[in-house]
Amino acid sequence: MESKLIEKSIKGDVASFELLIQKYRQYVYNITYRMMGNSHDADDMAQEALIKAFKAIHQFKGDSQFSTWLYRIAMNTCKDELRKRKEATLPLDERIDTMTEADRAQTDPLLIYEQKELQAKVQGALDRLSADGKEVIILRDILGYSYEEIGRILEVPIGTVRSRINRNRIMLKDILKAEA
Amino acid sequence: MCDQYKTLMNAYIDGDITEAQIKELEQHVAHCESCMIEFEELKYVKTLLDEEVLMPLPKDFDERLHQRLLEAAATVERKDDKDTIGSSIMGKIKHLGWKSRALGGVAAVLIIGVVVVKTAFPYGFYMGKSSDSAAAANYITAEESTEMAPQSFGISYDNADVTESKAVTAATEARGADGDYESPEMTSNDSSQNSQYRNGRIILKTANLSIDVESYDETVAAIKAVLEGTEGYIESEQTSYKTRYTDRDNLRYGSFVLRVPADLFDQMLDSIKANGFVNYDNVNSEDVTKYYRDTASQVENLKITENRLREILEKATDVSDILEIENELTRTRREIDALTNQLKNWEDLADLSYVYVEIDEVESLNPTIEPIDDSVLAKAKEGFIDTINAIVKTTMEIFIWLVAKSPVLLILAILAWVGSKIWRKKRHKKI
Repeated sequence: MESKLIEKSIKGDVASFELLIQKYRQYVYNITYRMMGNSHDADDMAQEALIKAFKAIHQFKGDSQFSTWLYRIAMNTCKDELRKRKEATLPLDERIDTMTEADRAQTDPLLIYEQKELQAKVQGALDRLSADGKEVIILRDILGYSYEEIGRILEVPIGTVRSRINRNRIMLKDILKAEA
Repeated sequence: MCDQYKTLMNAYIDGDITEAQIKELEQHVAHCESCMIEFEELKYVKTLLDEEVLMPLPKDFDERLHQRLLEAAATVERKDDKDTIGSSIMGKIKHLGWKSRALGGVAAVLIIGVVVVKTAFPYGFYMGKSSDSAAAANYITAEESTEMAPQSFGISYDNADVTESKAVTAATEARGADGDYESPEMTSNDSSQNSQYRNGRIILKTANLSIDVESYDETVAAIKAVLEGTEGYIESEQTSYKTRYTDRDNLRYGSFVLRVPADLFDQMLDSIKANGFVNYDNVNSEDVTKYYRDTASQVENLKITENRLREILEKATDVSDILEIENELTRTRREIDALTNQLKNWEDLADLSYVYVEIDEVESLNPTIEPIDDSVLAKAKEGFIDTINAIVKTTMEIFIWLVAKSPVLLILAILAWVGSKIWRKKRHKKI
């Protein structure tokens, strides 16, 4: 089923591609959301990533899962954007503040305030990790991928995945602790 | 010192740990306070992250994505394919010996040639030039490698001014021609699409013709002869006698609006012109191919949207959702209908061209000097009398006016006379 859809997508069939990404697009959005830290950028990046995937789908060789390939594109799109922004030198503290604000505004008003704030805090802490660090945490702890799968998505050895996760979890914990 | 345990903590959190390692970790944590705190905190962070719920997609995410995908689909085949062909060919040529390099050069020239031809005649390939490009592609396939074939087909349509769905159709057509890529599903799909829309150029022709003829009936008969047995017809016909303008009362003047099948257009004009002297002749062609294709692909896109909406409708359970989707469906349907009508209208205009003819019947097409007859002299006399009458009448009116205004004129005359006397006296004194 999926391979057929991929074939048709390669031929430029938009409807098939939409069916193909049906299952994954929310995860793509969640990846970009965690990477970018606010829904507006996440929206842009998710769209960007899916368009990129559509344009480059003929390069998908089928040696990995389609979802893996798609998430890698999403990750890389965000990382590229973050790098660009870094070059544009945005003061780090300011950015986190505005993002947490934006984040708060976006959350469902019906949710309990505390939970809202906690989520904002986690996201705020995530934002302070490096892009590489952020992506492993997202893949492991939010999307629940195994080390092996993460290695395949990011195309890095499993040992690197392990050490990155170790390092960044501790960093994340320290950031959260410092804020509390 | 405690680093190895930190690794173990992470392994523990991920469940990627052996019984022995758990024991080891537990023993260490029991003794090392900092590690115990670290371990607890890590576990807490993990639960925090676990609680992070999946964010719902933003509003209109799919709609916006759909729109952008369509745009991408329209551009990706035109640009990207050309790029990849260029680079992959160059890459491959580098690896070949000089002989094959020369062959590769020939292939490149062929490709460039095809590209140039397509650029010069952007619509040309619709009429059957796709065989050219298929041949070129075959050549390369044999020459280089099979994986290049599908890309090479990109050339055949990357310059054609068509949008997404058409481009895809063209691509699959070209593949069908090659024979290797034929899949029954795709071809049947294609033929249904093709029968729906025109493939050639859509040209709307109109002619305006004004002609002097000696025989009105013959001209009308000629027009009818061309139209007979065809789809064409006379849309309106108006004939009147020109009694007011000439002395002869059997000359006629008529205007016709004809709908002529496109292939008979020239024949029709010729057969009308053969009947007399052409005063005015104007042929206007409007090429609406681009608008036609744009509209056609718009219709296709809307149909995709419609199908998606139907799918969604089937899944919907909420009444308000259903109503909303149905509203959207109605709107989409209406748009499809309007655009389809436009397409049909264009097709109709392309099939049956408008020809406006004005036929003026004259006594003779060769201008002659007519002999002066009695009526001319009589007219001259009449005119002379008219003129005399006019002079008499005017003179009379002037006389009546003078008599009527005489009191006022008399006073004015006296005043003028006195005035001039005074003025003259003054002048005398001065001298």
